[in-house]
Amino acid sequence: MSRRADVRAPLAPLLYLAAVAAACGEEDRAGGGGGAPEATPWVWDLPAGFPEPIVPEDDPMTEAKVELGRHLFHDPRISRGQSQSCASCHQPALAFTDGRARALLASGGEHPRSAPSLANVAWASSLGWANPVLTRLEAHVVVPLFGTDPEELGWSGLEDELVARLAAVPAYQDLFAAAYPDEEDPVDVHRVVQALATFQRTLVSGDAPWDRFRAGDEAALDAAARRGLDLFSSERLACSRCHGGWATTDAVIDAEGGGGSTRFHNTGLYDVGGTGAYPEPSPGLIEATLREEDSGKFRTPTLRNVAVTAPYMHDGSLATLDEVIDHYARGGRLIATGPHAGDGRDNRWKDPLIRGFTITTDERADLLAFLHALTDEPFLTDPRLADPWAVVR
Amino acid sequence: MPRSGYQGQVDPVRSARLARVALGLGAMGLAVLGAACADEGIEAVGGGPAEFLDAMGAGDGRVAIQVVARVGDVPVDCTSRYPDLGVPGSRAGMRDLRIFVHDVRLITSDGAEIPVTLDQDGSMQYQGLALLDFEDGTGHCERGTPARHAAITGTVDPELVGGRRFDGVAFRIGVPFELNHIDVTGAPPPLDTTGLFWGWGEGRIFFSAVTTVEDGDDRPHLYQVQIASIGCEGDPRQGEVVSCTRPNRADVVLRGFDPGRDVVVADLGAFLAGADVVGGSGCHSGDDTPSCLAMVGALGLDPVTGAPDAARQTLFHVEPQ
Repeated sequence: MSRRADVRAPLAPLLYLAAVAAACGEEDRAGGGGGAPEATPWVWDLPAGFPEPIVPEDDPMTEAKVELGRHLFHDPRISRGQSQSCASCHQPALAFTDGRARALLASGGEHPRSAPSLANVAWASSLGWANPVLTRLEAHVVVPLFGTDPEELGWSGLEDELVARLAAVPAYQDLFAAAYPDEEDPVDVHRVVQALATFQRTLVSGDAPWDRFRAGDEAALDAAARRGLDLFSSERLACSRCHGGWATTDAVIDAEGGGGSTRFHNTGLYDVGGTGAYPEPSPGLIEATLREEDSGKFRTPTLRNVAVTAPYMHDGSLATLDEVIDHYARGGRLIATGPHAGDGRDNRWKDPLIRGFTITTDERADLLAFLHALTDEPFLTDPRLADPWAVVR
Repeated sequence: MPRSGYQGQVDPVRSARLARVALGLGAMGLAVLGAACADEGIEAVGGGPAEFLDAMGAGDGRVAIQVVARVGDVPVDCTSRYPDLGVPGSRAGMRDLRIFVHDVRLITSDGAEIPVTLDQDGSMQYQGLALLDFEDGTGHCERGTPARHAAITGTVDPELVGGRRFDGVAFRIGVPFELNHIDVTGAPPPLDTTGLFWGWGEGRIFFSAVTTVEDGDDRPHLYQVQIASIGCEGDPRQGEVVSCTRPNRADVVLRGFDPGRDVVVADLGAFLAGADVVGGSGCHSGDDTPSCLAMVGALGLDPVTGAPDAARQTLFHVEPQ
């Protein structure tokens, strides 16, 4: 924890400094990085209606740690083979997804599941698609770093090699020193994890047309999108029963006492052989809880930026938003043939809210217009979240 | 922080000397006389000569429980290849063999359990937890660590021993719940071992036996037996794991063990005898193939409930040194 956390300073100049740092090469940062950032108390500059997220007491937010985390997040050196960074699967322009049904592994294989968006991940009540255990970003970061099933960044048992690699980079000496000014030898793997978690807490998406509309700007949504919003919130479609509120998901928790209850749903995407099961290797929450009734349950994803996060669902098995609407309108997906054959509509563990609905062609267009109004362009292009190494390279 | 009163580091020289003395005592079973060498205990201990006890600097209750890992008669290491492992019998090497144990007790001849206060060595033993480590990071063990740890060292309270002879050892495989789910990075050793951290479960792999099987393909494939707590749930507001429906902490109780005379032997050949090392990829907590259930049970637990069950334990046995 910074000894100088009580130092107060106007926010705007510091944001400017952070932005300048973002645009600087290594030499510039080496010269000027030791000053203001680590003294900066973190001030959440949250969109209207966003509660403060939970931040672990032992990993407080600081400007310098965010900046360190941004460098680590975008650095291919974070994978053992230096072929992938966190941003390879979580690309800013795609709301921190990768556009693939299943993420590419450094080994050349595929991850069993689709890379989820990291927009507003600071409020996620659990991380991963169906994991009730991972409730802090710090706990999740070690999964790609050290996981072996599947192996992602490839560092299981090799953390000393990772630390040595990072410590040999002059820019990291400066960035770690700025983020941990009280530490004599600040480059260590625990701080890598903390900085990555801290940066990810700044991935705040709340400047979509829908947000401006909610804030009182009637013109932010056109007539079609406004009709789509009404449909989205209607009893008939019932989208907002799980995707409601500022977060557009019920799988959130905040520091002001909100959220933290309902998190996982079976939406009838599969019913393999009529057993209620989802296909391996992604059977849903049951994999963690071992309870049969948790078959096919997955965390409700945010719908923010949903127009740029195709393909959809935990396994990327729905290619377009039209297919997603078809799935929910039918009340579950029918797979007629093949190893996954079964009618998801009849899945015994399906959430009762997924009951199907009729929707006209015009209504579908309206609903799509609203879903597109959840795209937060400033978030997708925010220089504070972008690759800081691009300038250096 | 150590939960016992033990504050110091292990003195390797002294430990080695004690071990030699222990070996010298051999069949007399007096190695842990240290345990019984408090002033009032000396006379009562198996008739051991008091002058000899003085010579070994006894009275401090020091004990060392040696654990040997073998495949049949061949010691486990990172370079050997074992000709006939599993079903069908296959040529295989050992890539990893590490076991977390805690709640270590020595059992007296009249059945009393004496807790062993573990040395706090800053690497392999922390609080009541020890990591038994039979790999050294060489050869097949490319994701391992250089140090091996094949002896649980610590002290017993001579007053509790009361001069009785030891005739058994008991311990639990696993990491206690309150330590199991703490962050792997930044944790005190050996809890910081990333190779034994199951990220998805945010907990430690209690038992890891990984073999590299040569079944005729160009590259050997891995067969992994890894056991951890499963069915765990976290509390998002607390930000931590709060429960696990299958703890999978196994109980091992071995009678006829005297730490001065005997060693604890883990026979991986027998343990893996029924393993489908060619067709399968391994056995993990929760797998329900018959061979996996048998292996999980052989650790000393009920493979269905995850509750300890020492009666099923067959991985470890006792042999004279």
